[in-house]
Amino acid sequence: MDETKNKPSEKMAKLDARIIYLAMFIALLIPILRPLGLPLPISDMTRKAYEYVDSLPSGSKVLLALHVSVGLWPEVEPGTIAILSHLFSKSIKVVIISWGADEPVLVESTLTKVDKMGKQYGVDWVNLGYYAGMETAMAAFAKDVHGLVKRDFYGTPIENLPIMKDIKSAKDFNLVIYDTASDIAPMIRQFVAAYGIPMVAFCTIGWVPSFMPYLTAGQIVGMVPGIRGGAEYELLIKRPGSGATTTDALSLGFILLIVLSILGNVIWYSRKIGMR
Amino acid sequence: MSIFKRREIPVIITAFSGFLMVIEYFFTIPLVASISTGIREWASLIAAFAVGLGATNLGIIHASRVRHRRENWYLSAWLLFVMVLMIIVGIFGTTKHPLYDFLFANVYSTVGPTMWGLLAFYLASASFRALRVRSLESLLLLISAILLMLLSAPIGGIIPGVTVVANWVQNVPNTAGMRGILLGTALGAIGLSIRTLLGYEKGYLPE
Repeated sequence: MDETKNKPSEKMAKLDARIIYLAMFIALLIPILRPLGLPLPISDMTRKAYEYVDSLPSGSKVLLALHVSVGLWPEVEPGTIAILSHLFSKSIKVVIISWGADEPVLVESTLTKVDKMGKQYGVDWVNLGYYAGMETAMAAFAKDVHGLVKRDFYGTPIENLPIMKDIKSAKDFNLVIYDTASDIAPMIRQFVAAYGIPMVAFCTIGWVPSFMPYLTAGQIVGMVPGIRGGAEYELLIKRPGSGATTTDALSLGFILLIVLSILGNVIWYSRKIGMR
Repeated sequence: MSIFKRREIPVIITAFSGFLMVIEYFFTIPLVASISTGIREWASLIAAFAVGLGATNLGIIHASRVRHRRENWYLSAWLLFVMVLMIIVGIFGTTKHPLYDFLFANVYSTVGPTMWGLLAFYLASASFRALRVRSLESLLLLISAILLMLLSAPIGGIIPGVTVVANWVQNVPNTAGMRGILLGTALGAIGLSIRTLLGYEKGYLPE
């Protein structure tokens, strides 16, 4: 009988994947059912985003551009709720536009979770819906808003919406907030480089390394990454929500990934030594 | 050869549109601005048409799979059923219709994140089985991955020193590498654009 088969390292190496799945399930579930209350330090990038938005005077106009498909929406939704709450609390006009087909419906659902503080549709905020063409649509919108957009998401001609009367091009916005799960470069080219409009990015965590050059160069003034960023923004506006309650699950999930990576290597190395 | 099949025509249209955009970016000429605004609006309309074309193509491919009873044809039939249902509800009831809302909120909005959520489980299994330190480079990759995971999760903030080191990794080597990639792709894009404008690049044309 081959004795190596009974070694703990051999048994561990053949660990059933379902045990790993179960461990991950438990690591994610426990903190959601019973939050651990781990401290959440505020990162510089989120603080910069918050401070920039907070410094906008009342009556400023902000473009909230969305490009996040339905699958990744839960990652950016806490941040989107927090930023919309912040904007509505400061009496800032919000124009929402989507570069993907899912987002107009997703943002409508998200808006039901936001305290609008009596703000009126068409006067204080508007959902312009989806425009196909990505960078071409961005360029067309930035150059001539009324040329591209004829009706809002509800089919109302934009001439009938008071908020749109003074918005003719990108130059009329004080800030662009890009809520994205894709590359930020097209928006940088069409809004920041072409018109000098400041931009804040709300993104999924996977895009953070790619967006860092734009943040360090000052082309984006702040960045709110994923659920953690959303949770930080919730704390900054003093309205803890779904982001704050799910960050513990994020912590335990990542800790499990780290433990598994190290454990997998230890087992692999001990088997390698055993074979010699 | 028919005038409609000649490759020169699309090349001329591309070059004309491209040069207009370049001129408009650097100079303020009202006529050029007006024409280029029109071209951008057409481009957005064409993109919207392309979405419909893509959906039609998808429908044709899957209808053919069902008709010829190819492997897993019932999945294609299900796709067609859901696609047609959403299109009918979306067009005749609009996207504000309660049935569309119901399907979007209870089917689409739950299935999409579930697909992404499954990645957490596959990642866990892959971390255990595949992330092997076979070289110095893979060791650096593993250390960077651990640091950035700790930076992305609140728990990293309570381990002394982790935030400082992870921030350095993110801000210095990562940003330097990303800048190199960005500059490389930008220079490549300039080269490709010049070739396209001058008609040398014809990869976008049909065979």
